[in-house]
Amino acid sequence: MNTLTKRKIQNKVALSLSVLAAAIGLFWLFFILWDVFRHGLSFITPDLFTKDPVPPGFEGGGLRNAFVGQMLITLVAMVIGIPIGVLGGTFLSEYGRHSKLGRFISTLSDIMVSVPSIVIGTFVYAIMVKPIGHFNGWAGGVALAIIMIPVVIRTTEDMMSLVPWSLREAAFALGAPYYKVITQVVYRGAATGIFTGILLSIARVAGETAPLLFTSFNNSFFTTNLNDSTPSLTVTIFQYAMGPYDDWHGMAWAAALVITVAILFITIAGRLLIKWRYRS
Amino acid sequence: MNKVNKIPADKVLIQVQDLSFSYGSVKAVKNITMDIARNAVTALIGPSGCGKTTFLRCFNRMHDLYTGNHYEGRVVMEGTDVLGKGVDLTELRAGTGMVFQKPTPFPMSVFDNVAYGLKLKGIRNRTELSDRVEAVLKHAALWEEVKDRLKEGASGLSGGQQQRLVIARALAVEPKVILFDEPTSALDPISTSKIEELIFQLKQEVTVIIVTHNMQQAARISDYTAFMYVGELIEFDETDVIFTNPNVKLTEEYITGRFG
Repeated sequence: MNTLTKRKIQNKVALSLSVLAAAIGLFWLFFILWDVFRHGLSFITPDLFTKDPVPPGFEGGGLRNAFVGQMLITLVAMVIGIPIGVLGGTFLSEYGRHSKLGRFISTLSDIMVSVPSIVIGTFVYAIMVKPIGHFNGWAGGVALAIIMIPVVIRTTEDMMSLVPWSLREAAFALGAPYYKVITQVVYRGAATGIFTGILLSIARVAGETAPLLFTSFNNSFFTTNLNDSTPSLTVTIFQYAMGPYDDWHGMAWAAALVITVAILFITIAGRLLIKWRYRS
Repeated sequence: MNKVNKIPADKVLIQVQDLSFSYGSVKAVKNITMDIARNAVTALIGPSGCGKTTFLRCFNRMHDLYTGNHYEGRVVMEGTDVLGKGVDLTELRAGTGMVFQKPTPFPMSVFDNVAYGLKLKGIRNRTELSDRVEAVLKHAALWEEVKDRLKEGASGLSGGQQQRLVIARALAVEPKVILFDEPTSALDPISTSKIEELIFQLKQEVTVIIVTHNMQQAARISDYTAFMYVGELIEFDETDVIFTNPNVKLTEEYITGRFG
């Protein structure tokens, strides 16, 4: 067999294997999506979004409390996580580039990405729930923020590092001080990437259950008071799916569908943004 | 080494006195002494790695952005040593424009690019900004091409237009000196000739120092030429002399393409 035929065969084998691997991955993704749609779609009603849960045994009710609680907790996470993440990424890309401290923080942040989220949940439990004596929504927000920060740091640093150095030098050459070079030139160049990273990090934390179990826990009543245990979609899904009632299961499917679609939407929006950015 | 100094004292803008520069322990520029004439074009030529870009970047202290670099000697511009300790780098750079090899338009509109330096200087008045942007774009012979796309992103311009935009941006703040680091090496011949023409005109109001690999370019646009080799200034003279009757054999060999 000559080299050319051998290479062609090798190419075909590698190609088939990778297509197969991609197909297996996609199969499960679509299976999950289809399953969630199949079970959840019939339970998507206006009541789901406008009514609060009713006691077991009663008909009707919805998950308004969980939707609102989820948004509040995520909002707290964003308010804490985005600024810290973006500023941290800025430090790593600009000021800490060649310093030992910068490299140390960067490595630490990468390790943080892979810390199991339940560990973060128990950590926040220890510092924000145990001392206070009861579950609270703030703790849930903080736990999600801790998960968000390393993700935002990584994307911010990467996106800012992609802005060519010549651009910074050009701004310096006009007499711009470093903070203006960063805020007016580097951030502009990296804006879409940073924004996309933020979107993806929101998508990442919006689906977390484990860190909320020990922090914001759950609440069957509508509340906007984050000082008390706060309902969230993910923990509600967890509890309803484990519960003995059929309409609980149905609502858990519906909630799963809503959160899946929301995360899918955020992720696709992020991807489209990147695409749009690099086309223009 | 030839240290010809024919430039009359009243025409000198910058005096480089025994300048050396090292990246860490590597000495890239060695004991250069020469004068830069006011309102003239001074070309720095020499083979790759001879230190001409490094030398150029001493004039606005671009090297200060990175650690481990070290200057020796003096670069005196209008009585002050720009390498001195108390020098405000922001001020120095605002008065010393720089244009790089690859065009560096900022990720903003054409207008905002040109207005950038003006805004840094604290000019906020909209009419003043747009007047000055228009004037400087006309000066850079770019106005006709971009007047309808001032609000569009600068990245949409062609490479040559981007380079002229960047020159306009540097010109807008009315610097005393503009440093060009091989400004046409990434451009096509037509864009190159437009930029050469522009540089040639510029010397009426600014002093130009240009690094170039292109001998013809140095011959066409410069008044003085410095030939550098492995960090040293080999010969510095009027461009006509360098290109027609150089004093040093090495210069002649380089000019005639026998090495480099």
